[in-house]
Amino acid sequence: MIANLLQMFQGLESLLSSGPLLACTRVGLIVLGALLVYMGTKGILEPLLMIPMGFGMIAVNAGVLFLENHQLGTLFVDPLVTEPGQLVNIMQVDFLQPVYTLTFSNGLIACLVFMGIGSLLDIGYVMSRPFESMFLALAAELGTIVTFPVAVLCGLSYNDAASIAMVGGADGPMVLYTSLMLSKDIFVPITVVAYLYLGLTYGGYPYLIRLLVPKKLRMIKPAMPAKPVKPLSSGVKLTFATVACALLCFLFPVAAPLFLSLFIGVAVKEAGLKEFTTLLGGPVLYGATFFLGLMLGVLCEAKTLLDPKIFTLLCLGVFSLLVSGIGGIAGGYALYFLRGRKYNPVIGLAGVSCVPSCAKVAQKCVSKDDPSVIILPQALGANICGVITTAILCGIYVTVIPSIGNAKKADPVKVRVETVAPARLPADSGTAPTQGSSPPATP
Amino acid sequence: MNTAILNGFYIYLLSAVISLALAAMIKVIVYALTSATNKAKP
Repeated sequence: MIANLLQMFQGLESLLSSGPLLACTRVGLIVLGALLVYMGTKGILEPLLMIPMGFGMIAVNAGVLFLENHQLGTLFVDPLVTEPGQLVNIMQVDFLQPVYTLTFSNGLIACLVFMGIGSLLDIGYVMSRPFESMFLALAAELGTIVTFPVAVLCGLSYNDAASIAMVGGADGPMVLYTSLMLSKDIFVPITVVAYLYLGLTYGGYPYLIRLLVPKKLRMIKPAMPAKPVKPLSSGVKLTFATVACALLCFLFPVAAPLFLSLFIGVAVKEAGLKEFTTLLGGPVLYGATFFLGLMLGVLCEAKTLLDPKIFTLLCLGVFSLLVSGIGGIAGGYALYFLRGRKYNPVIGLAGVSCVPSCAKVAQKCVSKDDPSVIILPQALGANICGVITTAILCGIYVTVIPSIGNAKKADPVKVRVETVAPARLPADSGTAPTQGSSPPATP
Repeated sequence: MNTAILNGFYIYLLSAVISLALAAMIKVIVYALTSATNKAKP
């Protein structure tokens, strides 16, 4: 009787029949998913990402069933199958597989998010003080650089070390893109770690500011320019976007999709194409963010995350973000001393490229001490430069790392066949195609 | 480990050079286009 009931409710049966470690991890991830939904709803973490991600985590870990050959699996997505014949089969069964294969594993979703971000950026903040903004952004990339050798010391390959180091850039799509290019086998944990931590920057960085910058310095008002600054014309901004896009694509063809996405967003905005700006900044950005969150959630399957590297990745991710924050504030301090102690060091934190969270955090922290201090224009300049420097570092990593040291060869064009998983069809499905009916694999 | 530190340093140096070159390019573009606009005014 109980056996019959369990057979009917396969989620429960699969939980009881899997080993204790897998079962505990599944339950733990369901609880974590619910926690993410709660924290997203309360505004502690980014709700746009955390609510779909939390629901995805809950569903994928609860909805485990027995597939062909009594294998455990789900009907969401299988990130490990890349062999064309099996892929065609699975696309007809796993409902999120088409989204994963056609938008996620080739980096399209990261590019769509980047187009949306580009259409919301005002590069006028950067162009009015380029050296100051670039300096702060470079200082705030400290975590991206320092974490790389530390990760190698922890036993990761150059490719994996570069991917986890990118978390220090605090830019989700960039981490996704780098890990897809360099570490396809562990891109799921790296991206999940990145997005979980990026949610925490909003809550964690204010403490870092209060710890490293005394109240007296947090209340420094930025010096007013001697002459009133004329706003830059759209033509100037468009020229910069065009030249920078061409130049960076020339230098780093592997990261060209990212550069194109960012600068086309900027160009659309500056060219005054209102319909495209609304499209990119609205449906494209929010649609891509929704599916990104959902996909990250369903990729958090217990068996995928039971990777021995996960603890190392968790530690390195938080280390990377922390060092980047410290680096940004150190850059702010450098400008404070160079400008005759008349520069607010908090602006440095905005060099961490989590747009616009870090700029908002910096402004919020100084406003708490003195509401008349406005650092947002400088902070946004550094913040936008942070996006550009992170994209440059991403370009360098995906170009340089595969050719040095013990790196594994990255092949951005051909998809590697990591594991040939067994056919993943529901055991009792009579209508679904079987392994035997799959079309022959193309080379 | 030493090689990794060295590689990290080179990568940082390269990104710094490119970023600062971009900043210089912004200055040039702003200067060139602004002076051209001013000259064009009657």
